[in-house]
Amino acid sequence: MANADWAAAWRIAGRELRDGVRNGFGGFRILIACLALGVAAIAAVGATRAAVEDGIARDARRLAGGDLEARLLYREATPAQQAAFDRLGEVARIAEMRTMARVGDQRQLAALKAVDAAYPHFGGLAFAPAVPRAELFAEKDGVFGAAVERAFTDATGLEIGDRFQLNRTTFEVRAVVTEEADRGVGLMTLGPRVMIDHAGLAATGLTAPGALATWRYRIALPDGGDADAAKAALQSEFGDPGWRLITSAEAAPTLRRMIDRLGLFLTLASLAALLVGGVGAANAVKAYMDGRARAVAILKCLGAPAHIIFRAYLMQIGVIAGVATLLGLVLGGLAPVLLAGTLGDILGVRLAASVAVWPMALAAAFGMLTAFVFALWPLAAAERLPAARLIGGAALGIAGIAPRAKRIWLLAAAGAALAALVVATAADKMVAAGFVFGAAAATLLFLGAALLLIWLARRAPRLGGPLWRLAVSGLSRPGAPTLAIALSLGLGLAALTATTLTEAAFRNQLDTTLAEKAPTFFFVDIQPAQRAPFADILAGIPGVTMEAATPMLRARIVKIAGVPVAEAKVHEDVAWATRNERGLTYAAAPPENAVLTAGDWWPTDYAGPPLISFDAGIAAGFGVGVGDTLTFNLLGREVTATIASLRQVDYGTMSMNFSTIFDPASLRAAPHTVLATASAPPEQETAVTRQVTDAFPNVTVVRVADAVDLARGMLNRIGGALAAVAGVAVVAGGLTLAGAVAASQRRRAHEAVLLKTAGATRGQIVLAQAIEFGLIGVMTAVLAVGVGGLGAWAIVSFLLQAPWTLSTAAAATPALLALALALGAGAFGVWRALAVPAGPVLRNA
Amino acid sequence: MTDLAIDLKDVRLTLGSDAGQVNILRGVDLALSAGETASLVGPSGSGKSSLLLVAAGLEPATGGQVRVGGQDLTVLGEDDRARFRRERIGFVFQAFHLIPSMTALENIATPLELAGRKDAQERAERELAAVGLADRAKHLPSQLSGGEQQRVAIARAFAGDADILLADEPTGNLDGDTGASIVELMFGRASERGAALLLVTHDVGLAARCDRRLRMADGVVAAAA
Repeated sequence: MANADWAAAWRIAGRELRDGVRNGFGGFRILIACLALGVAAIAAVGATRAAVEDGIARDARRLAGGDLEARLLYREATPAQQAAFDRLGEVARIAEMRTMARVGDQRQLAALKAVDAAYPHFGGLAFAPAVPRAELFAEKDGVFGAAVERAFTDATGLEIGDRFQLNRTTFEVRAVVTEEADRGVGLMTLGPRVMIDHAGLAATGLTAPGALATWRYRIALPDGGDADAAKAALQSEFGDPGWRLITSAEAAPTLRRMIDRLGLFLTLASLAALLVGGVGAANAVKAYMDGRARAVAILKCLGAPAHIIFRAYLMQIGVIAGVATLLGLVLGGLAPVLLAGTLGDILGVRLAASVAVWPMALAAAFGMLTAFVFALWPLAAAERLPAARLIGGAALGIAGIAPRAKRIWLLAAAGAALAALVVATAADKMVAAGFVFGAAAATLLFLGAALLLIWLARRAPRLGGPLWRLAVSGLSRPGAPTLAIALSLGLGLAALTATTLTEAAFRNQLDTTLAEKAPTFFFVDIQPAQRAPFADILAGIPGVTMEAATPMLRARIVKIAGVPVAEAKVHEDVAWATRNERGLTYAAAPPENAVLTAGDWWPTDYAGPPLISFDAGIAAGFGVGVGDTLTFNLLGREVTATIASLRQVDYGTMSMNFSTIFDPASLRAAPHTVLATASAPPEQETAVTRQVTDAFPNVTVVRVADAVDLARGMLNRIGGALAAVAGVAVVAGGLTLAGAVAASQRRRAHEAVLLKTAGATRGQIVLAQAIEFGLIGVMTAVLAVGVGGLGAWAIVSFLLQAPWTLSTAAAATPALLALALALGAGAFGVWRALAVPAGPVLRNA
Repeated sequence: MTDLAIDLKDVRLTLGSDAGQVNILRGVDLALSAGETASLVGPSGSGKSSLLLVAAGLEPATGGQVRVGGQDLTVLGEDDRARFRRERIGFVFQAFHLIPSMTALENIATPLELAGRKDAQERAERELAAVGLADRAKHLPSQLSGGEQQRVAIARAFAGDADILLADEPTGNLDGDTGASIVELMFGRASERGAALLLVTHDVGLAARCDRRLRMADGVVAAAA
């Protein structure tokens, strides 16, 4: 019997579908478009992310520049270590540091890289013109060769054959670096690349003890060599002499983390688009079932039980949703192909051209489950349509019919399954759960607000002229699009508002907070002996003030409360603090404005075992507090210090923010440099750069404005990607809006004709529509900005832990968009309604 | 000539459809004096309702002269025809055609308000009372019976200063008794106003009540019935 029921349902579904196909999917176009868009967005994000990850995995050796890298800070490997590297395979030796290049009177920050003949092992390096390596860097008549990035020639105006100076040595630009696979993420690199060889570097004198150079030894293992085994061999031979050993499988960690993070946000934004598309789908299914109400009633009269009707129409919607999902997958799957060029340039990764099965399957699952959740209510209402309505002669439709309790439970279960799928497949469960909660709350809020508007419209005193009355009653009549418009457009615009306001908050922080409080310059690499003359130089330039000068060392946290970092429980949010060497300082007194949250500062004459004042937020993520110990690797030497106090550190201020401050006695003797900041009026900036670098060629000058520009550029790219996905949600909302207007078109046309008969001019009819859609638009705009703003505030304040500022300009854009879309839809509706001739309406209605 | 309420000469109406051009009116000549009542009978599809729509300016004629209340409608644009309509013409339909979201009183007040009349409410109340539905002012069309809805439609037609009433099968959707009372009301109101009445009907008895009976066939007014 059960099988017979399914077969009967399938036959009905097939006949109804045949009718739909014959009509060119007329009633399903909006449904297909809404679902396909959402699925396409999710598939595009997933497929692109997979293509980038596959690209990283495939190009790992090229990106890493070797099978195994030993990285040392501020010092070269010992002869014994270098001999060990040589035993493992072919070794390329690289030194990297920031420095100032001099071009006449001009000073340019440069990311200097010295390489040897073995570099790079696996290609991924190209120059234009393709000068042979022997000639590229070689000394000729006391002048060394250099290959520079295009940004360097752009900034300095140099061309091939022109000369510049690094400290005391002259270099000639012999080529432009067109490809450098191991450069890493290009989103935020301060200073363009200048590549020389080791002979040139030695000639500059920049590698004096204490200089902030990073030394990398890239080992290419013989064919079939095991990088993990080689790493283990080095570890067992040398222990941990303060180096970092990185295999090619661990290459590009920053890029991987960024892809993870950005991928999560883009996926959630895509889900928002799918959610909006779901509302459109629900509306389309309702309109379709309204149109099929007569067929449903007839089927019931003929003895079809409710569950067969439910199944028949569920199958139909399933087939249509399948078509939409397939379309979305094809569109989304094209994204990596279309974005390969742009992303390849930004990320320095060649995107893989394979079809990613898992992201596609996931996008399909989201699409089908969303369609099921949103189609369920109208389908369940249709199965309860009383057959008697066929006889009554009343207008047939499913409005106001409540589904059976069983179906409501099914809906709740499907909704829970969708939420569970979102959380289960997200890398960060908390963020995904927050999204699910936020989306559910926003949906309920929009639903509640729309219902309130409808309730108010019903009860509003019947004041004003007929146009106003018509508009207000248009909001509340049965089948009015108020709910669908508020939900779909509102959710889409809330997603857009959340992304634009989040971006605006960051932009605002960069533009104002930073600009007002940040110093003009950071000076890096000042040797302790240069500190006094450096201060004298600044003091001699009118208007320039040295704001701070503090010792700086770089160290890596290797143990937390005695437990090696690899084994310690560290919260993901603060894991960055353990990954690389971080700057730290020492001080007798707490920094200005320091807020101690626990413990006490040491006495100025303290001379006992090492103590530190540590960042309270990181301490919480480490699970440590006052009295616990942290062990640091300081240039190969391990120092274990006890946490004496915890501080609140605000990293967003662009002033000196050290997570770790040692007591002075413990580190005063350690080799260190001095980090200084200064403020300068714009007209003195060139003088500061020139005088400081002339006197101290080893000192690197970083203009804060340049760093802010870089951050702004990165923000533009990330913000652009997020806005693009949120834009999909708005488009889905617009489609839903168009669908809702189309569904009520018959009623609008009827009213327009009646008004014309009563003597209304076209202008008056347009005004009535403008009022109706204007009211919905204003409500949607206010709510979308409110909900989106709340979301942005939560993202900025809690997730990204950055200061929140509200940009009214950024909020105005989605608000105006809401109004424009609503009014545009109304205009489209009235334009079509006015075009309907009076005769057929008056004769047939 | 100004005493002619409706003066149609060689009026043609051709409409496009999926099946091609359809000649609905093929040269109608019709003259109706002020205060005169005339019925228009004929088989379905003969063009009776279309003739009313053309006379009301709701369907622009393809050719010929359409002069209503002394105004040549063929020289007016759509909006000017709408303004003319609300000043001079009342229309009663078989399907009532009340605006479903407006109360009975609001439906009557609408053409007055569209015309910017300050006394719209008072006049609407007066007209509603005149058709015996003063106590139904706040009811929506869906809350009224068919007969009541048609009374509201008649009140709406006479709410302004209409001196021409066009009625398309006004009793077609009503039972016999209700239909009869509507007919009484309509003729009575037209007579009080001295309005010309052009009535499309299949009801021979109703047609007989008019001063003149006209028959339409194949898009022309063939002869007196």
